[in-house]
Amino acid sequence: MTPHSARSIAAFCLVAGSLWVGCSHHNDPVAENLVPPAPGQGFQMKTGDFSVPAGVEEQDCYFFRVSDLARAGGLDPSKPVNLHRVQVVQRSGTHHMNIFRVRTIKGLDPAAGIVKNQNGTGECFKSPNWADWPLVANTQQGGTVDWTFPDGVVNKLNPPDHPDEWLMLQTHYVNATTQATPDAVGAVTVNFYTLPDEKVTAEIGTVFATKQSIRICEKNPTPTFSGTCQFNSPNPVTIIGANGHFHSRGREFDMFAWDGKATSTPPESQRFYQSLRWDDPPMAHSPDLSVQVPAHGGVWYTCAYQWLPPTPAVGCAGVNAYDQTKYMTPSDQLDCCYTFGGVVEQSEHCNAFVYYYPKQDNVNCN
Amino acid sequence: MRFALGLAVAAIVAIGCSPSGGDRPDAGGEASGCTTVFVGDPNADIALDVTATDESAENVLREGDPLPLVFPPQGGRVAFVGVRAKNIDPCNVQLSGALRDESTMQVRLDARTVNLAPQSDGTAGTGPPSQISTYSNIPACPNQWASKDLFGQAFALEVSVTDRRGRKATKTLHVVPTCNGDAECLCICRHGYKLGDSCAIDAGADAADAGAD
Repeated sequence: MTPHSARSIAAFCLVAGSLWVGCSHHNDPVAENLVPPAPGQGFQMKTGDFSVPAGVEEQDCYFFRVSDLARAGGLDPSKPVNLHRVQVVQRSGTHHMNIFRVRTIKGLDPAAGIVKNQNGTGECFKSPNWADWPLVANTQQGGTVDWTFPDGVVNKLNPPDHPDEWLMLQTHYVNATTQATPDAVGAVTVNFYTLPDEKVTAEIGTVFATKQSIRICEKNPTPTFSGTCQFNSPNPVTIIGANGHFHSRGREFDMFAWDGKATSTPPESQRFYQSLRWDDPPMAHSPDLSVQVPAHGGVWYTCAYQWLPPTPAVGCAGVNAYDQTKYMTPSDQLDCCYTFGGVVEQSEHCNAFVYYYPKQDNVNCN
Repeated sequence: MRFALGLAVAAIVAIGCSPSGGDRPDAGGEASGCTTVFVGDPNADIALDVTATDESAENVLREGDPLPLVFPPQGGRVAFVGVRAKNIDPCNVQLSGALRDESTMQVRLDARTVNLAPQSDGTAGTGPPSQISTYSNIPACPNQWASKDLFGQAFALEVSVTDRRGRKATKTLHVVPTCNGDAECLCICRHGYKLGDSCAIDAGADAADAGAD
């Protein structure tokens, strides 16, 4: 253990002391030790420890029924849950963790239980399975989040139009070249804290936007991909949370407040999010992030990449094989391209997550 | 590994890549491996035709033409919009496509960096149709933004290209997005659709709705 790592652990324990019990033998949050909310104040979801062997990308989908969680947390299971504070602790090695509300059921079904998949194969890797599932919470490597929404603002679970919701907790761990999972073990624990009905003043809406059909190639090595997503609100809204997600070829992820009409990048003054770290992207949230967007406005987001040679274990042969298999790219179009996909070592993402209020709709921009 | 990552990041910085943005020429492209030569007359303005593909064929769009809405890998429905261009440097072109609801002026857009390929007609263009990443992928549906159905009615399609020399051309057409009878498309592209709304398909309703597409 280096002095630096020892200082990091000490600092983490100091900061986390009021929230979590204990720290691990190295700088690894102990998901198992996250104290659940007191009865009547919320509930906890946890995966428990699971194996992430060397050379494996593990992506698992866990399902939780909101009424079951509410009952376990001492809340009335027949009423909506006013989510007001999110705590997440993950063991090191996490690549992302997303929680969605289950809607149209395709290849993932809560009734079928947990889905555990590896290395890009399986229903938990297929994003069309959750194409219309609104985002609830997310985080990425770094592993810890503790976010209390602004006073009176909640994300309502089991709302009147979906009174018996299921949630999907999707966790992705990488134990390979670009990322490693110490001890080859992953774990995620999430606390949802609630707010009494009489204190609720506004609801949160979420935006999940993803650029598909991205392609970062040796002959087109510095591409950018930009997109937009509207809130469809007749009144201004306030953005209070944001993060961006790409893989190791990503060099810059930007988000701007956008008027919903312009077709060119908004001015720098409108930028509210920037990530220059693919492996530890910042999670911007209130109170530091509070940006107003005009009526019918939205978010403009841009992912910029730098092509890099694949890791030796993958090689151009590996990314070309993926390109051919998944996208049926003909041989004369192969160019050692990283394409859209969930496997960190051989593919790329460009995903934006945004939280705002007051809610209009939950929005997906695919 | 972190040291290696640091070197990689430093290398990226040293290359001096341009800031991001769909409308910005990317100076980093000068160092690319793209060797396709200039197409046409460097002293002439860029001549631009707008195209669209349903992944099987790519057609030049004219005023009033249908614009296919296509099921992309991640779900929803998108329009794959491309170009045929002359008098353009085809390497590292910034291609932008936007679908605008002219009654509200709201748009959905996609901008990306592509290499245009020489075509048999002497232009440089997007494609082939199976390579959807070479097209602007305009995310049309779920329709949570337009003031009307996203099928059977006219929208403005605004397409621009900017080559790495900074030369730019823009073309706007009115097109009619179409679901081609795809029942889920008709559901999620309808005005007023909310994320998670049921798209339970009724065969009879499909047939009737398809006629309005």
